[in-house]
Amino acid sequence: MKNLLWLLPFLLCACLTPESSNDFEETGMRPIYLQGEAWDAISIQEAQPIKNLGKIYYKDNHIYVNEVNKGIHVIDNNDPYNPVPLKFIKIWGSKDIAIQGNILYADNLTDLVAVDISDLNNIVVTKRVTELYGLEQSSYPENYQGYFECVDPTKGTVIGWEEAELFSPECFR
Amino acid sequence: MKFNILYFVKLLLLISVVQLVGCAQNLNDSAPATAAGIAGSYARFIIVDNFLYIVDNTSIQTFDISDAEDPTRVEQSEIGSKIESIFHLDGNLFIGAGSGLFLYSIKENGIPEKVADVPHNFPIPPCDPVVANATNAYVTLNTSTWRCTWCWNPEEFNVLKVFDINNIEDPQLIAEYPMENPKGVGLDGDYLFLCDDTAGLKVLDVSNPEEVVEIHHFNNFTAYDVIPLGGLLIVVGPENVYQFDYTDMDNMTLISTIPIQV
Repeated sequence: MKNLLWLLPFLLCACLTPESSNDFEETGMRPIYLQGEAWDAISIQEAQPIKNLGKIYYKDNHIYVNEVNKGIHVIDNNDPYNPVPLKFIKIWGSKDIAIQGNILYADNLTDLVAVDISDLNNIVVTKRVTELYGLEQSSYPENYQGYFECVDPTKGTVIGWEEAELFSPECFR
Repeated sequence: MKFNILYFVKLLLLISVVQLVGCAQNLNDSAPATAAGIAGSYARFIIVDNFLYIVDNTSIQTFDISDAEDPTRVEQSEIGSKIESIFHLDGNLFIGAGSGLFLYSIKENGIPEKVADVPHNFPIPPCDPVVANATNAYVTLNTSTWRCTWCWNPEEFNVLKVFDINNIEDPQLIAEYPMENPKGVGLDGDYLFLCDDTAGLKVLDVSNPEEVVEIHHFNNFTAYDVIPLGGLLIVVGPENVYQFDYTDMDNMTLISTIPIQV
């Protein structure tokens, strides 16, 4: 321990450095906020292009493709030579898919939802189980180490994280 | 001895199922008809009979879905850290994590119970999907998915690991194959479909797991994950959703693509 005492002046020095010289730009994670819309509203929309590919699932000649944090693309694959995009199920914060019979299970941010998809024009949420996941995701990006932009709850609900150039980020883990 | 006979019977059953699947004429009819669908290898949701299992970063939750419309949480237990994916075979759950491979056995009441864990012993947590058949588990490890902007990565770990799981309580590592950046994997009989990121899609003959042979390598696209459906293969990458016909493995062909707009 005594041998490490010589480090002390250097450590003190680091603390006394003026703040302005600490400004830096760093690649890190930035929260994606949802504003002016209920995060738990689940709805059916017309087919749309896949943009941010997530997980995939196959059931009864249909391909289900997760649009990360946004929902699920439904593709009719009765003719695998000619797959036809059918609909988009909007589910904020969604990352996973499982289907039993006509019931689709998905994560809606912190909750698990069961959605009857037997009629794609008229989907019905049959059950919502709260607290499937903890609230970690809304305070920091999971599976990530490094700088991130601190969450500002006044900006809305955090539905996900994206990579960005950050200016002097104050949060890291 | 009792265990060996049991697994031999399971193996025979598996072979007969694979043969049945292989005989199907129509591409789409080849997918097994079950109440639940089939997930890619990064799945964190998996349905086994009347139960839905969900893994998060650290734990596994069990939901009773005997009434599909009304999923009811029946249990939650801690597993470890950096959980990535869950795979099911014959009443066993294979849970891929940054810290290792965990094996759980589903008890009669539907609740999974830990039977083994195999630590990776790596200094940084890799990412690892897993698939298995009655005798072997195939795990891909890659270091690039773990996002760490300031860590010093002393070495890259990009391998396919093969475990002998004849004794489910004591999995043995029997082979390792170097890969570029292996991600999703899918297994159909003797064929392992491996997405090797920018190195493309590899099809490996795993009839001898200790000497895996590459039979196809499609290296003109980036591949992330696969779902094999007994003759029809769904592959996804950053540019497209691809479908291949492999009813005749010697002439495996791309039959359609769905573009992804970046």
